[in-house]
Amino acid sequence: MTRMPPPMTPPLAPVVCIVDDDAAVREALDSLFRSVGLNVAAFGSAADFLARDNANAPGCLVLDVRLPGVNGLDFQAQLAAMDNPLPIVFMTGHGDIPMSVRAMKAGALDFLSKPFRDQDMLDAVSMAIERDAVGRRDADAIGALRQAYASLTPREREVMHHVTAGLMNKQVGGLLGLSEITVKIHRGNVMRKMAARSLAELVRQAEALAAHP
Amino acid sequence: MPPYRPLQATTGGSFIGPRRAVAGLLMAAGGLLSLAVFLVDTFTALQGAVAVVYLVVVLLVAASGSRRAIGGAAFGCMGLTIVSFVLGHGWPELDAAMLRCLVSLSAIAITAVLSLRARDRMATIAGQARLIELTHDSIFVRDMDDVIVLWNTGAEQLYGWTASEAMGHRATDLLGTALPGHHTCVDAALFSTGRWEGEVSQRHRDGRLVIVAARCALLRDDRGKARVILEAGTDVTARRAADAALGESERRYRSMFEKARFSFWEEDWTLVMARIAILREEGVTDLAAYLQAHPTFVRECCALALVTDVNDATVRMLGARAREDLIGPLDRFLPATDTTFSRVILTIAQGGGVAEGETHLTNLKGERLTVLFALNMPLGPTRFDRVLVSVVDITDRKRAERALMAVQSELAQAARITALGEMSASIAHEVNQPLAAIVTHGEASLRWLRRPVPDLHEACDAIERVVRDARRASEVVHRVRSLASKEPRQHVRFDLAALVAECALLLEGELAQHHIMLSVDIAPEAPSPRGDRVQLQQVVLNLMANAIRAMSCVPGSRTLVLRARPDGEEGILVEVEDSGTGIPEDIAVHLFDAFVTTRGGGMGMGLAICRSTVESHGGRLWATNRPESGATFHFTLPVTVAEEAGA
Repeated sequence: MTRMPPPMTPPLAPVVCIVDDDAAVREALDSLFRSVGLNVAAFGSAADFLARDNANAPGCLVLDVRLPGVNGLDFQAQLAAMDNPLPIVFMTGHGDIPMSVRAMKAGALDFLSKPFRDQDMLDAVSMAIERDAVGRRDADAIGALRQAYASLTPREREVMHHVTAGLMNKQVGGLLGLSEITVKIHRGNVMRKMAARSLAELVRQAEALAAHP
Repeated sequence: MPPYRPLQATTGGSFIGPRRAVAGLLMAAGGLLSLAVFLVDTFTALQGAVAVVYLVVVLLVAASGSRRAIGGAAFGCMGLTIVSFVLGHGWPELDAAMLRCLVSLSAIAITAVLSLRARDRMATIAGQARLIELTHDSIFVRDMDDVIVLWNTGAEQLYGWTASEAMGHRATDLLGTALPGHHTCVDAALFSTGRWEGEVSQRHRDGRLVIVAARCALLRDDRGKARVILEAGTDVTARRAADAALGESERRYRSMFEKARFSFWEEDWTLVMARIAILREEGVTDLAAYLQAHPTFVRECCALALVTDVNDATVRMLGARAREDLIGPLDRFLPATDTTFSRVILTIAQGGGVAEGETHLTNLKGERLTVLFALNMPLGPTRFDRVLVSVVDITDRKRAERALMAVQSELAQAARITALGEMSASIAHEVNQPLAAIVTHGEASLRWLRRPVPDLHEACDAIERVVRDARRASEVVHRVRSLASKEPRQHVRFDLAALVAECALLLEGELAQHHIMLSVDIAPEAPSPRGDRVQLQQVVLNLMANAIRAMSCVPGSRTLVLRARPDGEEGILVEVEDSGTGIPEDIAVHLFDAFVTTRGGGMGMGLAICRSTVESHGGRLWATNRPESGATFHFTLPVTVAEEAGA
């Protein structure tokens, strides 16, 4: 169940990854992003990008639609299948509408046609980085919840389930064949282990867990 | 039958040898008899006219048929009679003996005279009989019992039986005569008029049938009693067979004519040729030039060519109810735009006898048919009254061909557009990449410079790349241009007339569809152009197609003229002239620009490409409106050097 590093790890600086087979465009973007203080990693092909070091670094991907070997849109689908969370900003030499619609539907953040205005590109990239950061925070929170939930005993999970479903301690005891006192003890453990300060918070946590199993 | 015996004798005695022997025998017998009579007359005292027996001698000798012998015998006998009288009675005195002697003498003389006359008559009859022998016709005579009594050499040859075999037999048994109609009819004719003529089939000795044209005559004797029938015949078997073969051939021709799936026409060109003859009498020698210059005369001739018969296939093809609807002048079916008829007239007038080609016909429903025709003259190139024309309707085939051509041309057009689209997309991409890089570098360098602490190094790097990428973009543009002009082209000298003919063939359907007369006028002194034949053909084709399109909606006569003249020292000027709508004012200025079109379906590339093709050959292309109506497109081509003017 544990996929993410512990939430204590210090956040890495975001990196803008550029994938474009045209060196001139690559260099230009590199220069532009660096001029506003962003970290940049440029790649000539999709394969180079996949083979990069530090693959978990936050940031975003600036991707040319036309790539050697693989179509940008297909590569987008490939990344989604790999659970890669990096937001994608697409670039195209000849922005055609059906292609951009497809890309946006598949979750692309923006679709810029070359030559683009620097501000548009920078806005798109900073939005993408922001989106990535939020995504990562959400993912971290869910991870912590899952960890806490994993530390519950089976009986405590049962109790949590019934309590968050709105049953009184007495009813829970009746259902599980336990005394009311015992139910209270389990419930106290649940609240402590889940770091929930109120029943309302515990209910929200249960909902979040149900939404991200 | 006494009158015919001598004939038999002659026919029987046609051999010289036996006849001489018989004559000699008769002479000898006559001599011996006369000697015996003389001895008896002289040395016996018989008181009678013994000398009368000399008549037998004369008759015997007469049987030999010699005139001189008869004379000799008569005089001899008379001499012997007188000698016997003198020896027996001494010097004559007028008494009874003397009287008897005189009677004997006169009897001998009379007999001799009668014999001579009989002999003459026999000679005549024998001559006639020889004539009968000499004739090639078969002649035989049969009596009233049908028994053959005379049979000549012609009959021997015709029927294979010799005279001796034939005579004495019944003619009907021997010849198995089959008469047309009933026997009694023939007999009735014979007995009423004495003659009958007709064809009979009879049997030859070897069993085959011979057809004989027979003439029969009934011969009667002095008292009017029917005696014999003379039948003269000519063998017409071969003639009848030839007639039958001819009839069969005619029937076969008819059957083919009637039942053929192809359309057949019989036409009578007599009037046309008479008209041509009049023309020649008027002093026209160059018929070809005359026909070329006088289309109305050709039309007149077309009205003089008469359709005399057509078959069922033609009736169907021309949408008629019956063949009678189609009999008459040819010009009802041949549209006025036809150009083949004058050629056919020329061929026939020159004794060619055969002509073929492709033309159009208008059927009775007003539909236009495309047909192949072949014309020939089965009775010989000078018999104009029966000209046979076979026609194949190829309208559907032509329509399919035209549709195919249209589809092919549309396909080619689509392929061109697709190629153009792909090429422009790839050019756009090639140019866009450096442009994007240039813009981004420029913007990045500005950002480096505008930082609180400007980073000149980064800014310079970025600007250097701007320069580098701009160069690269320019190279791409240059590459595209050189790619476009590198298309391999062949410079050859070619025949403009042949090129135009090919274009006319390609556009034939359109020309016909819009009823456009094409007139090609290439001056003989115009030089042959030189250049890429395929490209220049596209130019001519394009201009002609434009002209057709310009005329497709105008009323009145539509003429497309293609003219070629020498241009200056070493060049040719080609003009394509139409009688269409002309070039609208607002279009005229941009006529040769790309993407300018007056047509919904057009790309507006035709004239632009035409002009660049002509200019790449070192020529010029321009257009003018004609004062009357329509437009003229002119283009020039230098004939000698075109290469250095390439784009």
